[in-house]
Amino acid sequence: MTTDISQQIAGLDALELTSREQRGLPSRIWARVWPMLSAIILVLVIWELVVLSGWRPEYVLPGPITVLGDLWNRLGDGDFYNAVAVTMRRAITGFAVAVLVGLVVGAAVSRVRPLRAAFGSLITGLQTMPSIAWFPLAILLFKLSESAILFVVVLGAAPSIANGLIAGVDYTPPILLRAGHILGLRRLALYRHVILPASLPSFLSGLKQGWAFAWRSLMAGELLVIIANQTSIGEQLDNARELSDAPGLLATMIVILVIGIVVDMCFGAADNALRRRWGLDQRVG
Amino acid sequence: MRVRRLRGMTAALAVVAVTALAAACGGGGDGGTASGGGDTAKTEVRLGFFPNITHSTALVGVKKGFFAKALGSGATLKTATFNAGPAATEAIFSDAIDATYIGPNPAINAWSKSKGQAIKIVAGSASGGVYLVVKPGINGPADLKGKKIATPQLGNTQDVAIRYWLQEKGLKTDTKGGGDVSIVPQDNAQTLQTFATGDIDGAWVPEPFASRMVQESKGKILVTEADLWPDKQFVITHLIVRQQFLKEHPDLVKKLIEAHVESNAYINSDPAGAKEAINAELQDLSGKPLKTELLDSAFKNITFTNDPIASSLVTSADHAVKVGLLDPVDLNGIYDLKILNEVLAAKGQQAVNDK
Repeated sequence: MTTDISQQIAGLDALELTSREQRGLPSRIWARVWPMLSAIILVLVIWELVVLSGWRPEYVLPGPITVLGDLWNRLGDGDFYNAVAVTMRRAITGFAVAVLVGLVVGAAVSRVRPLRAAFGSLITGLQTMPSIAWFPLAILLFKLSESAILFVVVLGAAPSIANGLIAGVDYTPPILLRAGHILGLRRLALYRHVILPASLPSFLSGLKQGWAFAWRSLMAGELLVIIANQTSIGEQLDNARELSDAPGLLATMIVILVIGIVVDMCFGAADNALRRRWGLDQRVG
Repeated sequence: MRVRRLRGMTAALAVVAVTALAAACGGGGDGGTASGGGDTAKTEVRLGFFPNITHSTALVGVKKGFFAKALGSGATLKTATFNAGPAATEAIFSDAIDATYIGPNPAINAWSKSKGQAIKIVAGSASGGVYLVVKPGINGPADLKGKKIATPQLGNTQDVAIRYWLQEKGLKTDTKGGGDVSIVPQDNAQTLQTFATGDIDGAWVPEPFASRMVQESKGKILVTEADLWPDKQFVITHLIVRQQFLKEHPDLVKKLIEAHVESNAYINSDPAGAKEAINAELQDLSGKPLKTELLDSAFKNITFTNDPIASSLVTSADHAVKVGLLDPVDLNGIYDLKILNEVLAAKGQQAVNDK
């Protein structure tokens, strides 16, 4: 009789535990890769079909083979890596400053009632404002310089980050706040140990959105603000345009897209790590 | 099961959306050109040019109505102005214009980028009018060492010319602005400014900027580019057309060239009247005419000719390859001077050569 019960309980336990089917590494990689690969192939096929249809001459809309060949040539060229390095440096600096500004503003606005009343809707307003609208002013203020680009990148990204934090704070369950209170946490300590961790998911999605805005602002900026003797991805795109170099244009666009995807994957990984820590990672099968 | 069906539908929707998008864009982009097909029912000829003195053939032809007259009642002229060659090339590639006046290098670029499919040069327009203007203290190539010289654009005709000239004089340059002489490609308007403030020591530029540097900032002409060429002739502006347009409407191209030849003949027979027309057209286009002394000095430095001076184009491309600014390109077939020579023959003038 007793063995029967323990068997039943063991069965219940098994339901609770995540059952990890142990598969080999190659097959796991394959499972992740094949959907992506087929999506890429589908896009390439549609692209090639549009080119083959003769809708536009080949020197205006080149096919994937020409463009990938051009991309391959670029990958073997030192200038390309310089350009990527410059652009990534700008992106990371701009994003870092935006995170700092967003954190400070978000924290202040979320906890101080008059500030929220005064600036809450302004931040949302700034978030919806297309960053390219800032460039004429930025160029006036900072000349055609790196500072002008940085200024707009920060303005583009910071409101999203601040908003993410504010939303996270708003959705902190009151029970956690009360528990923190009972444990004797006040003000900064409450912030540090209860509110910030609780708002992490929303903050993370704010960061992700902030990055998207920063990346868009940066590309707009690099196309508008061309600094002499300073290469960058945006400058390469503009150069390709000046030279009527359609394959170069598309190759550069692919580079921009790939960087965007890779960074998004990094955020995805951070998101996964967070969910695992919170015990939300209950994958089935 | 339901999830799978949903996915399938999403994919189908995406395909439909892409097709619709392409179709919609096609409809918008073609407006005006798709109507004719292959016959001569086309009613519009879209001609591009720059509001520059080197494009006087177009300025005079438009102002004096030569183009409108030649096209007659069968077609109307629609003009578009551009600031520089790349924008004009872009307009040709995207089927926004049918023909444009343009400099030699953008034409070479359009030819090589389209593998000889986009354009043809159908007539010459202007020759000469390019100078190396420097600060008064500089008296020869040796004095240029360590100096900063501006050109209009990296890899453009003047940029190639100065690099090749310096190379021949034993002075090194590179595309990043280093070497014995620092070459800084920049906007011509910016060149005027920086030359006035002393930031640059000179510039290899076309008219009217060369004359302005001399008149406004006490510049000195060190090199007249024409002196470096056989017969002192080299192409600075010519007329290109879209190959498809040439194939479908040779009659309209012929009318365009007739007007072009008439305009050049007028400029050469009545310079005073031509200058008046140029300034009137510049006034219409940009709101302000050139100063009289500037127009006089720039105008006399440029020769207006129907000959595209083919040899100078090929040589210039060679030079660009030698200084590392261009991959070797086969220019065979870039010229189509048959129509021009027909027009010239009808007027009893000598034919021009595409070699």
